[in-house]
Amino acid sequence: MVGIESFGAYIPKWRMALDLIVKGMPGERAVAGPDEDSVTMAVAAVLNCLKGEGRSQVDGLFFASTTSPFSEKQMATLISKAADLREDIMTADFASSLRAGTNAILLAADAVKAGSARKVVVVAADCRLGAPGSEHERNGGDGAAALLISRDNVAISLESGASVANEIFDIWRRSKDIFTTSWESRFDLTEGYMKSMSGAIVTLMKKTNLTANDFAKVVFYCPDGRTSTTLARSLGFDPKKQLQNPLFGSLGNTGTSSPLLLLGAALEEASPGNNILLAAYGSGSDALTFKVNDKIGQIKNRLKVSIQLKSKRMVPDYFTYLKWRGLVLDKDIRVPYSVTYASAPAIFRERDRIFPLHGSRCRVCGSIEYPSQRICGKCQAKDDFEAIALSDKRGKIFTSSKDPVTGDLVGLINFEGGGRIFCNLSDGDLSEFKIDTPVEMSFRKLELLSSDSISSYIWKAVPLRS
Amino acid sequence: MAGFKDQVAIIGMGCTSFGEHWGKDVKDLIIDACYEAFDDAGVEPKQIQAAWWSSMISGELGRSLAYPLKTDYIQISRVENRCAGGQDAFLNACFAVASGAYDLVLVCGAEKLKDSGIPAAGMDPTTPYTSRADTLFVPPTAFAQLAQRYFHHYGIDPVEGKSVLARIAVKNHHNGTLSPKAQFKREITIEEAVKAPLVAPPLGLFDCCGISDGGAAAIITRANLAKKYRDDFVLVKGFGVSSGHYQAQIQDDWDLAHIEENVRAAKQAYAMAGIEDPRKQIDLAIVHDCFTITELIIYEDLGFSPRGKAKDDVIAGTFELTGDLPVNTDGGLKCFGHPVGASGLRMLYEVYKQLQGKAEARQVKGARTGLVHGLGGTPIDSSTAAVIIVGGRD
Repeated sequence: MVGIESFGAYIPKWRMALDLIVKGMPGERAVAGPDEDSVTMAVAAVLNCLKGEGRSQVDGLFFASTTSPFSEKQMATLISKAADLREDIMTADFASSLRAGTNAILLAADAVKAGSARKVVVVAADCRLGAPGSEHERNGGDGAAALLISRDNVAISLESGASVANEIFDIWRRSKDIFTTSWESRFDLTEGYMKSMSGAIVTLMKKTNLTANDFAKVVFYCPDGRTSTTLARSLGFDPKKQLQNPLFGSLGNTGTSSPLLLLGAALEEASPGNNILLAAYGSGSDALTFKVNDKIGQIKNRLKVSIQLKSKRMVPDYFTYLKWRGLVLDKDIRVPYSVTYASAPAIFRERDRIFPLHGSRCRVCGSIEYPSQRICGKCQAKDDFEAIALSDKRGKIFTSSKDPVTGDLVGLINFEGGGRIFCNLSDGDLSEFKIDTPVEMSFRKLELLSSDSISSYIWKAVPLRS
Repeated sequence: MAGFKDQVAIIGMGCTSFGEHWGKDVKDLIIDACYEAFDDAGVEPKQIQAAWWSSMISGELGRSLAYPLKTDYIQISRVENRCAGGQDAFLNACFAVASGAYDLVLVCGAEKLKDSGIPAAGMDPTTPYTSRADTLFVPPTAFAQLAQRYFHHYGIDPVEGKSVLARIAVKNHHNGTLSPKAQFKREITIEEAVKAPLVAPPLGLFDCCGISDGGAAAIITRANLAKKYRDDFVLVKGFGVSSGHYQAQIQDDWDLAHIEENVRAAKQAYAMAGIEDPRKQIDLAIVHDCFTITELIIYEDLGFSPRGKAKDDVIAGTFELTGDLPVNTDGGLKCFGHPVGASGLRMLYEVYKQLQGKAEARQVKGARTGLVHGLGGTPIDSSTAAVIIVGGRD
């Protein structure tokens, strides 16, 4: 039996009130913080998914996104490195369509079924950027979701899948464009969304001999707040009882990750024996049926979509949002001489420190030190240490302040179980990082100079989310 | 450790005014500082046999000093130890003289910071890393964390702590009004300091030293040759230099309520100079007050005040011009600003003038023994501390 062994969601802490875009509009959307992108959100989702899971059997990681920070440079490698996975695994980026996430699930399941991988992590993340003032901006959302696809210990089995390819210019973004463009919505929805989704779902239901009544929940990618209801009704589902709430007004349409995040929300309420239908859209459609078994209880206490939706901070104003997304010109910070550009060989050399946050534990005196020290700071033993991952350790603030040049918060954190890190603090004001405040680590991007051609990533401390 | 006491004499010093020298480049600062020192010592530039040059960013290589001064192919060595670079260049020159290799040596520190357009003297991000995947911060942010920790460690209410720090700024600003070469010559009040805009919480504007351009120079010789040049030469009595190894970051039990480099440097210097009770035996000290919290902690690190009790001495006025142990009689970095490589020699200049009785309105009566302290780096990564003790002729 192949299916989902574990699930992890990540919804950034920031929300933008839709009122900031259109005066008087109710609701909000999730917004990635200034130091977040699709890669950092993907890392957070993967870590939530793998919390407490053995990582040695993960033989692959697929990253699905239409908003990877790089057009050429695989990001699945970086995500798997940050998640501390082995290096002899299959990694791949799935891109260019909002159904890249379900594409990746289907192919991961095939790989596991075929025996070429024991477990594969599928992670989808998007940072949906709409043109300022557009409906796309209001409906959009930022977030990530990860699934661990495996053969053993599966909590939700993947029963069957069906796909439809539909060559159509309904929604697109050329390589050189910043924002997506769409054709007239009547055309898009009729010949695109409705036709493809119905096609895949009807094929799948025929194939599996299931009828609308057999599903506890149907989870659809939703281009807007209405059309998915029309689709559900046309296929014989009861939208009120069966259709998963698309979370417009609280999360927004998170693109590639949307169907996966909505599946996660549906799983929170699922019981053993439930059939769940998942369908995604983008130049065609993928439809998948899942069956929940009694192992669902083992992963239900993961950091839930519902809990993350409640844990939030509001973006103070629209200008701040535009600055975060690089939509208004922000000049380089003038930095003193010693801050040069990021160095590719140095990042490569220090990849174990930078991505999975490895420190060293001295084999002689047990002292945990970050960054890794060849000569122990405490007992001066030479080259006698082992790596220790610190990314999943909680800690407490030892001291903190705010840097006047970068505007970023910094502090020293003492980890539970030993070790200390000097790092940036994020997702809170300085008043939330007083001495002894508990914190956890979060993988973030570090972009000091807009003229940098390499995106650096760095671990920061954030207030506890749960 | 072999003694070093009374082997090297300072026979001349020079110092430019410190401030925003929009009209002068580093060559001008070097020439102005060195020629004041030549005149003061009564030597011709061509008599100088070797030179040591201190700068963090204003010129690599010995040629940076040779070019403006037009020296004649002599040895010039550059020393870089950031904010303790001036003290360290001076000490290296002392070693050369004490060894007998040279008789007459010039030391110059100069820095041109105000051409950079950068509102901070230095940023500590890359060393020892080079990847730049590291937390970036400027010095105020590092010392602010020290302040927060110091207050917490000794149970000092932050509001009270801020007012203690403000007193240090008020004292230094007062001394600055008596220093013709200072960048800032204006009295401030405790209230003004406490209410000033925050730079890096809890440190505000008046807790931070300024950024300025400046240069200073010294001419030294062996003690037994000094009388040839002048009667009121100043003798080097002892020194200590100490570098940390990132203890505050890599050791999870490091307290961050003191700066161990200061303690070690002072201990070495006191032993060499025969100082057992610094508070009694030292007549004045010019220390590295990059931030008010630094000066407060230095009082304890150098043994002027018991641990956790420096605030009592601050409130009692111990370190004011009229107190038991005047500190930063010229206004310190607070009023001179901090052209990194030049500051150490500017500090020495003040002590030199005080010991000669030429400190005008700032004169500490009967000053015989003075201390100069420099601190490069920050308590969050690591520092190099340097302490030099000088005294008048016996």
